[in-house]
Amino acid sequence: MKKILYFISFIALSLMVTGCGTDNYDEPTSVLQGQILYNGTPIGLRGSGGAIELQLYQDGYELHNFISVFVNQDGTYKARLFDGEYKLMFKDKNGPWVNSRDTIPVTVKGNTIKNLDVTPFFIVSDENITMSEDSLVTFAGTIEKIDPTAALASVTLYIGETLFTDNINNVANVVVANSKITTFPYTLSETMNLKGDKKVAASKHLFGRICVKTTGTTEGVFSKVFKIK
Amino acid sequence: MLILGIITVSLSSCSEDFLNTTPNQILTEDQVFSDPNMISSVLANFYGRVNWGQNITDHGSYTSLDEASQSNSGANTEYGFGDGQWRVYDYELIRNINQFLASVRATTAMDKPLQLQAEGEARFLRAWTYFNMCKGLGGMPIVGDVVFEYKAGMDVTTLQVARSTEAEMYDYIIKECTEIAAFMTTTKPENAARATKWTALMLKARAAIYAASIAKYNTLNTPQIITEGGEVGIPASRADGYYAIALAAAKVVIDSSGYKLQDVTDPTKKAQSFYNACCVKDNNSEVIWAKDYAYPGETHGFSTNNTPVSVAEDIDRSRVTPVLNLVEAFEYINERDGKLKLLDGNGDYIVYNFAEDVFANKDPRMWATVIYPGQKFKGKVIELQAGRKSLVAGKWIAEIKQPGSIDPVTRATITSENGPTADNAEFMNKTGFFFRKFLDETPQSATRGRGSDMWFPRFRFSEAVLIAAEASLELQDEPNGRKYLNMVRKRAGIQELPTITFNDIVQENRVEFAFENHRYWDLKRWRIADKVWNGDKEADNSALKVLFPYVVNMPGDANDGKWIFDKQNDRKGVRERNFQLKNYYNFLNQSWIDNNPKLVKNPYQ
Repeated sequence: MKKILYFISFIALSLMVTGCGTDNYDEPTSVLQGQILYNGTPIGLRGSGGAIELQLYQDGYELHNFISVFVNQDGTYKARLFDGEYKLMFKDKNGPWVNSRDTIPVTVKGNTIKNLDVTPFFIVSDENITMSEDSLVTFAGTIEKIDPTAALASVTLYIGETLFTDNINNVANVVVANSKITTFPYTLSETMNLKGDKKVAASKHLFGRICVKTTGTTEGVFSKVFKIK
Repeated sequence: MLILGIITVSLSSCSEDFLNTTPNQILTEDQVFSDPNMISSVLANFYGRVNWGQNITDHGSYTSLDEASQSNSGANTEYGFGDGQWRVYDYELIRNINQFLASVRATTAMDKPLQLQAEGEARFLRAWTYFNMCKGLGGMPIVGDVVFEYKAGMDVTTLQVARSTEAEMYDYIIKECTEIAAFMTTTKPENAARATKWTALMLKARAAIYAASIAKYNTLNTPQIITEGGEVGIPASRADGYYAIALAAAKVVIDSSGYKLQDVTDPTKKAQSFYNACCVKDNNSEVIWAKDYAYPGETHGFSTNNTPVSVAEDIDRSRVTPVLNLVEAFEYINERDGKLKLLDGNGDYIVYNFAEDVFANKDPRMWATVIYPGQKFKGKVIELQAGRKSLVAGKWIAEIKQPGSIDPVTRATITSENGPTADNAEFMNKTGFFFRKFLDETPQSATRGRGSDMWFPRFRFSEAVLIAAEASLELQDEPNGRKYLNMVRKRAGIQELPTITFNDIVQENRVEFAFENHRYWDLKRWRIADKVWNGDKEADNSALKVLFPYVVNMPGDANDGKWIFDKQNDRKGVRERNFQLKNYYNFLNQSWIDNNPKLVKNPYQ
């Protein structure tokens, strides 16, 4: 035991010795942040698992890899960077909006805000999700088709145990029959009965969210998250 | 010690020829290409470098799809598919093959026919490399026979080749195979280990059917997966042309190769016969090309790692085991839906006298593919019993003990030593089944010391038949498509079909080629992978399922000692299969693009 202690203190000592004065860069202090918007309204996204990604390039350095900037579920993003000229790009066919791979030049100097406008395939507006005492959840909202060429894949209602409720993290979900949704804007009004669901009964908190998916895309557009329990 | 070292160094440096010693481990090109045996050993090196994708030396690779799951300790929480899943990018091998080609064409050490055969094999392996690259990445640079050489001061951009289109890549593979098939040997090689005319034609047929189905189904199902330059995606107009090439090549193999489906007329021997067709090298009339292994020398640990617990020969066992999804994919002899009949209309258990009775009348190929409860392996019955159940006041109560537990009074098994169990125990079955296909019955083959010399077939004759079936059907010739498909079904021992559809082709390929590195690529080329593995947490197509057999323990009851079964979610392959649109093509590494700026990225990247 004593030997081990000696050994550990030796390592600690050597770390202290080597740790002195070798850092020749200060950490980046500037922040680039923004939000993905349509007509000034933020777009709800899947915020888990690095689903939505922005690619940040900077010319003039040996490393050509982009920096991945993951987008949160309320459409915000944030990256801590050095001051300089950057190029921002959406990942190819990634988000629930019309694909655009145009380079967006960004000058980062101190705290920089850069909001990004997109044309989503669909949006969910005026949404509201509530649960009444008898575990009956009511989903309401309006689904608008923004891109006229988009084809609806599915509308799904999710119940999750955390604020990060989406198509991957959920405890219960119901797919709304596509046959119901014939015209846009479509007024959504659905109920979901959670009575008898053991997972739901056992959870302390519950959250609800609506997702609209377009055919041929992986990520859907989401409503806001509502705490219902 | 130090002094000794100095003395040794000073001693050896005294010898005069020290700087003039001829190395005995590095051979010059002239030395190699003046000896036929040396030339063969270079080829052997290439054969050893082309083992990609799901295969028996990587048992973990079987847990990625819907065929098997991890049975070993903790759960497999892998979700979705990686951007580099089974990706091949091996221009070093292609350059080495091109070096070999240049030298072997110039050698005088070999007779002309032998020389041509060596060239054919090398070009076949090069085409196989391009094929494996293409099915993951799409069109990549085609460098032909050129051996690129960098000399100081030269313009590096001449070494940078842009990506070809996906169609050009398949065209190149087809053209190479056509050319070499004209002069390669038609003699069957020992253990199907080397390439022949028939191997070349099989690769041609497979490449053409891949290209054809991408041309047709990419346009139909996933039209957005294309690049501007055509590096990914093939125009729909080319589909019929490729189907015709695939059909023609497959027909030559079927009609004139001398290979045939291994079959027996006795229906009770069909299962063993199919096992022999896939797994036994002697008198095999079906395997056209395989990665062969030999003892002593080159063996692998597939049997060691995955052998049933009760017949294990070393500490390793039961690391990966097949899942119920695959078992239920096998049809019944006279019934298309292969689902096991576990519950009756009221949701009550259906009771079976013996564990194996629930599998009665299933496709005999299932027996050859998995060991299911109550079947023999290495002469011993493989028991799989999760526990005992009894009906108390209208509720089934399960009694589950440590594996190997027996009832102290009746001496009956409670939980068998094989499991299945629902815990994290190592070396214990978790799914209710074991592999049989590619598991070696040879004594000592499941030890670490010896290993198994089971081969891994890459082309079987039945693939030629199923390619012919698919190509015929797609070319609006359903009668011939049906004829070919029924050849395979008849050999298997299941009912022949009066008419066939695309889904029958999908179904037959799944069960015929289980564990043979077909399914992932098949679902990809048909562009249905994202629909089958759609991330649904419950459905059988995407969530892994296991089968837990129980014995009824109710002395005095009519059902006492009989078997009931629970179908439940797999606790080891916990995440549902989720194939996203971006997974249809691998991503390119940034480092490749840095070295060759002419490369363009794949969709979704």
